[in-house]
Amino acid sequence: MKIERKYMLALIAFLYVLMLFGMYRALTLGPLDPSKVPGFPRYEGDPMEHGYKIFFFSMQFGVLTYIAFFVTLVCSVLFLKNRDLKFDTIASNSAKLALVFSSIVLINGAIFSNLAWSLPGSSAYWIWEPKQTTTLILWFVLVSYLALRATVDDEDTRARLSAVIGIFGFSAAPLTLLSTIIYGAKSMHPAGFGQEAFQLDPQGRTVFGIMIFGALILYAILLWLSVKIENLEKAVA
Amino acid sequence: MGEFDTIMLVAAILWSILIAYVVYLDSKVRKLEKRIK
Repeated sequence: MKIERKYMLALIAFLYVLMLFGMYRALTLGPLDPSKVPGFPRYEGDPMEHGYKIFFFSMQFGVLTYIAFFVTLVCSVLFLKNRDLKFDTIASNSAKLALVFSSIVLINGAIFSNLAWSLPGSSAYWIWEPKQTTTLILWFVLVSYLALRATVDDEDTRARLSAVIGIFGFSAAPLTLLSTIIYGAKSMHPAGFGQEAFQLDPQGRTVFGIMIFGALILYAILLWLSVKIENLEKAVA
Repeated sequence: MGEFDTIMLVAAILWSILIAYVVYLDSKVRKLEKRIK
């Protein structure tokens, strides 16, 4: 499939404007409502009053990590079934993107963690909270997947081995996603959208939708372009 | 500038980098396509 350059640039410009609009809307959201969040504010000048808005800059990368790894899983299965290397190309490029997104989530999450769970005079960037820890496990799985690919020269062997790692390694994704339910009270993240503390007002829901929509477009473009580059480089070589 | 403002600035820069990377990948595709032709 070939997309005219002007359409591609228009799509990129649209995405950029959309994300800037989303960020502006996130910034103009109201402060955290103490009546909806038990125990808030924890102390005078609690930074979570506005700091909760980091959620709108962080969660879309978490969602993208799961989606990108899921694409790796599906393409790994399809490769083992059809032995077609085009699935291996998609799987590996999607895993690379998942690694980038999960790295962003880990950094954003650490900043959020410090805002949400630190007390005055102390820091809480890393507290081994279940979601933090399982996201780190997911990050290591992705690193091992890509490290394995870098060590095997034969294309077919590399594709087969990484497909197996991709399928088994994916089990880390639901572990992270469901960690709030699996670990129950040990997890400091809200267990789900049903919780009262997690109810977003209409403007919050709009920002949530914009950020997710923009992130999905970004992932689709990045995956499409990186797969195309790998195929073109193979054709040139 | 407080920690919260810094985070917002970092988020805006991050998205700008990601968009710039997309533009870079797109131009790389065009160059490779030209080489094949």
